Amino acid sequence: MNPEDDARAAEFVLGTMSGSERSDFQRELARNRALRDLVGDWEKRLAPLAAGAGEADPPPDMIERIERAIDAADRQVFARVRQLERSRRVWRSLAVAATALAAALALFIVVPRIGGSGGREYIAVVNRGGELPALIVKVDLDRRVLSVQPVSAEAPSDRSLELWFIAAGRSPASLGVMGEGTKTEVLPASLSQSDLKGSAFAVSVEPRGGSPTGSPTGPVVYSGTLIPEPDR
Amino acid sequence: MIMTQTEMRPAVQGDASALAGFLSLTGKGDRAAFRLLYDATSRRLYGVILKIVRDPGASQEALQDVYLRIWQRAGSYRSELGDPLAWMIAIARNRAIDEVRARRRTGLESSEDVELSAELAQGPVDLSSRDALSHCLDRLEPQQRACIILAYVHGYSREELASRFDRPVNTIKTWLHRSLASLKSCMERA
Repeated sequence: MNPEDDARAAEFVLGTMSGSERSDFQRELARNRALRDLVGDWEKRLAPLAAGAGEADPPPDMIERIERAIDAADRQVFARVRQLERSRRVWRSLAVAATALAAALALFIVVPRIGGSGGREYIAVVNRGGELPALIVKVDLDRRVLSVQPVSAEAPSDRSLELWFIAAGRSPASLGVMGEGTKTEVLPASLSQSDLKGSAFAVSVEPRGGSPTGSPTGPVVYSGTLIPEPDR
Repeated sequence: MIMTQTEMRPAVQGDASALAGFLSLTGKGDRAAFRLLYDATSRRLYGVILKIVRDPGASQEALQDVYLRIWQRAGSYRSELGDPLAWMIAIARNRAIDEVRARRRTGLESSEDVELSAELAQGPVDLSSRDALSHCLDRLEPQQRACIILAYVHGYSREELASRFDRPVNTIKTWLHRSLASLKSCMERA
């Protein structure tokens, strides 16, 4: 650990940097994982001091204001996702619609598979040329399991691929960073079947270790939406 | 330093696992869990923000932003990031300090000299780390200890500390770096 970095991380957490120094540091933080870890350690170390601030009552309507702000932010994100989708082909039988930003290279095949028990499982193969890996995305609607398997290449060496689940009308929730093996995630149980339709997942390129902010920050290299099954 | 903890609020005190549960559900888009999380933590976070930002209008805007961020980031919370309240406090302080570094602060200071003596006497985030921190703070020179608390709790910048203690800004910077380094090594020994 660089002692100079540790001192800067400490002062950043303490909050004593000037405005410009602070914003320079924040930019550096976004791309430097080691520095983020140092900041995290200082946040933990100094957190007990916050008790000194005491408590104060927010206005009673604060929670409603917050929820309105959440709704507005979600609509924005969702509108962006919808926009991506609109330009793409809609798969005929129940399917996963693929979109890929700047991804004319994407080859995307959807193979609806009817399981023995009538289970509905869908497979998408995402293959991009160049440095990005091929992924196999499987969605099992009945078991509510989403699995993503990287097949060939690795993520660019200084980057990670992060998987996001976007329930209809909600903000992206991180499902974590893609490793080398298959990543399996359970779709949130609180979602109703109708919520599930219209929900999307996306893979973005993030700084190594994942998004520093908890929301996608890098380019979305792949996004797909579960769409309702038309009558057969 | 006073160590009595009887007045701590049940939803906050030692209830890291309940908060972690709310956070995890919030990360999955559960609004009811989010409201419980808000109920359990908003007075603390608003206290933290108000002390730094001072202006109630700007503090409320900041609080709204902070909970929006918590909603959006809840899914990425992991226990190794610290206990849930500490994680949320970090988000709140970050936003509050951005606010006061971006604009000049208005509003009156509260009576800090009175408060300084009692800074660590209220509900802790985590008892063991609080004890280590409070022990190590006590080993600093009184003025240097006051600098740390004024900065952390009241959002003082180096310049504001310099004028309060009538020292050059560089002296303050040296104080801060030394105090922080000695806090860290003291806490590692503790």
